[in-house]
Amino acid sequence: MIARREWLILLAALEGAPDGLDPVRLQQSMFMFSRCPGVPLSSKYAFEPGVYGAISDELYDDLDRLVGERLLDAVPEKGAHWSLYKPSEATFERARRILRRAEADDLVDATRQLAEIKQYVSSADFGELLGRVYAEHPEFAVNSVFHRAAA
Amino acid sequence: MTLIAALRCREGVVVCSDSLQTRGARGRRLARSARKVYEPRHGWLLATAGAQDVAQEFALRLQRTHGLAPDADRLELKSQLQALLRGLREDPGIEGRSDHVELLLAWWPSDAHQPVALHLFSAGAAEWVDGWAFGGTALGIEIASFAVSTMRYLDPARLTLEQARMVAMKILRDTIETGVEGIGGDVQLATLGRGGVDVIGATDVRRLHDAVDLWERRCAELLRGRTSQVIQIYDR
Repeated sequence: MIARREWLILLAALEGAPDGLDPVRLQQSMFMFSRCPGVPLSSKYAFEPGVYGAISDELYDDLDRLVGERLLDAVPEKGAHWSLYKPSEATFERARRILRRAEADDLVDATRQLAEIKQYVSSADFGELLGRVYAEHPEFAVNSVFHRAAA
Repeated sequence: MTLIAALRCREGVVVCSDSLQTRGARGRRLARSARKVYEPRHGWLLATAGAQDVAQEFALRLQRTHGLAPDADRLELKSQLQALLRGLREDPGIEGRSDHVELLLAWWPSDAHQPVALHLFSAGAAEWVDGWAFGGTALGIEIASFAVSTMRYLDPARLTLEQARMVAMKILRDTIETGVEGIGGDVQLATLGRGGVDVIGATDVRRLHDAVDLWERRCAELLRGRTSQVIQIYDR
């Protein structure tokens, strides 16, 4: 079994966004992953409709833990309050092991889907990313300040 | 020294503050984190700026005062609150009683369509809050007022409570980040809506910070396309 925080490590290590991902992109990535068919239930974070879209407090907590364990680097982004979560050498090393286990557990499709999500969130701007999440999962847009402001 | 703010919106009131408390004379000042936004009694919101012992005593007396019902006439309540503060300032047992204090209070009468928000000054004056109100250190108020003026396209009366929380967070944190002496720490927020008071915890504060960052990045996207391009231009 691959735990949900291990999928988060894998997401960080996969190709795309070499400077790291911000919390909003990480949250929306893991949310989209949780909606993919074939992803085991135990690999999914529980999301709720939050102030900007789908949000998981457990994911926020895991980000803090992974930074504390030096499995991710939190790099402050200039002009922002948040940090970008950037993979370190330890992230890549752990991700390689996770990938091998995913292959052994017949989770290659899930891994491929996560890689596609990483590619997408790395290239999409926030308007496009949130627009997609709101359009595909309107129930997660109900508390969004942006959604309601645009309505 | 503090910055406190109240924002009346379509669905209620947001009350917020910085969290830095300073004590002592210039050059020997000690700083620590202090709570400045309270729910002193059920359904009431309070933010305090000024001497901490006066603020705490006011909150305590407000909590214990009998017959202070949100449904009472608002002018009557205003007089009661002014008398409460006056009594406190005449109490020789309170060290900072003569220092300048400002209080922002909000409550929602059950038969009213709108909440009530009041700005109370230590000299006895009081103003009803409509839109924004600030209290605390003069430079902090000036900067926060300027920050509000840069968002004059937003009509507070049309904002939802969630949106007002985000706007208040942005104003407070932008002011804090200018480094005004005596203002600092994280933003404390609470809201008063139809459903009652909600004192925002650390998890929701984090979400709000991310929402503000996201809002700013979306503004940057409108100007220049990708956010990273905008930052690179500033860096040159």
